[in-house]
Amino acid sequence: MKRLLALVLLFACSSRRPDWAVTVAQGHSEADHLLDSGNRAGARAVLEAIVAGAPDTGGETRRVLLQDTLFRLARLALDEHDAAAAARHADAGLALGGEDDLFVANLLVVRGAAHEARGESALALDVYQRALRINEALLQKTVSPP
Amino acid sequence: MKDEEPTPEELREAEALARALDGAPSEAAPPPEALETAALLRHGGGELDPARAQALAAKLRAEVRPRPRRRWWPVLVPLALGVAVMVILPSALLLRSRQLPPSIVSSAGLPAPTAALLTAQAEAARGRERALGALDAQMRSYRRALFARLQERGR
Repeated sequence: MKRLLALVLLFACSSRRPDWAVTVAQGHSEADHLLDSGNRAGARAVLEAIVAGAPDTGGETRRVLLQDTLFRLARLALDEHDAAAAARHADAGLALGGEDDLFVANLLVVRGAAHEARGESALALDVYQRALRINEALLQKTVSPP
Repeated sequence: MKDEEPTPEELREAEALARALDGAPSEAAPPPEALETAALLRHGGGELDPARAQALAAKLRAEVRPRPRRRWWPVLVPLALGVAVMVILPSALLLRSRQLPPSIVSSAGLPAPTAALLTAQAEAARGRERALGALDAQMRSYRRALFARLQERGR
């Protein structure tokens, strides 16, 4: 617990520092360890601290790292059967915009799952289809790169 | 290489020599060797063969002709530019790299997702709940590659 508190404090102090990406990397690694040890709440706290410490600007990397972190938060919420929180995290990530890439597709997947968990089948299907279109384009690039 | 104009000092020396040849006083002193030759020509000119005297006079003029000054800029300017490029350019690049936040990375520079990751994502997008766990596992691997890439770019 002390380790977790120290990490959260580090995130709080490191907001708007230029090496935020490094801080995010450490946070995700810590979140992995916490999840592996069954500490879901600890992992959530670390991931939330990453989001809270995000700089105001940072271009594509900021978007990508935030979207990935929000995807993880949405996943945690789904595991805890909190569809509303999952939807909220996914929407926050999607609001950051970006290209039709891996991170946007991941957010669409968890957004669809949140719809599904709330019985919103039509909405879930629509969002899943968007995710699949991006996924297919990415797979095409992976199989036959330019 | 083109000769430059003689300096005022050289002009004064040439004038003094001309005066010495004529036997007139001068403020500027020509070179001692030139004075000796001039005196020889002036005082012993009548005893010399005219052709010999003319040759000596030509030699004298050649000796006192202002020497072209060496031009330094064709050598030093490229050298200075080279040094400037070698010193300033790495410094500027270093400064620029320090100013670049690690955030300036286009998505095109991110690692490509693996087929296994995309397969897990497609399964999850078909609403298969179990596939979400596989997607999580694949994303852990991808994340490691992503952070390694960002670290490389941040250096």
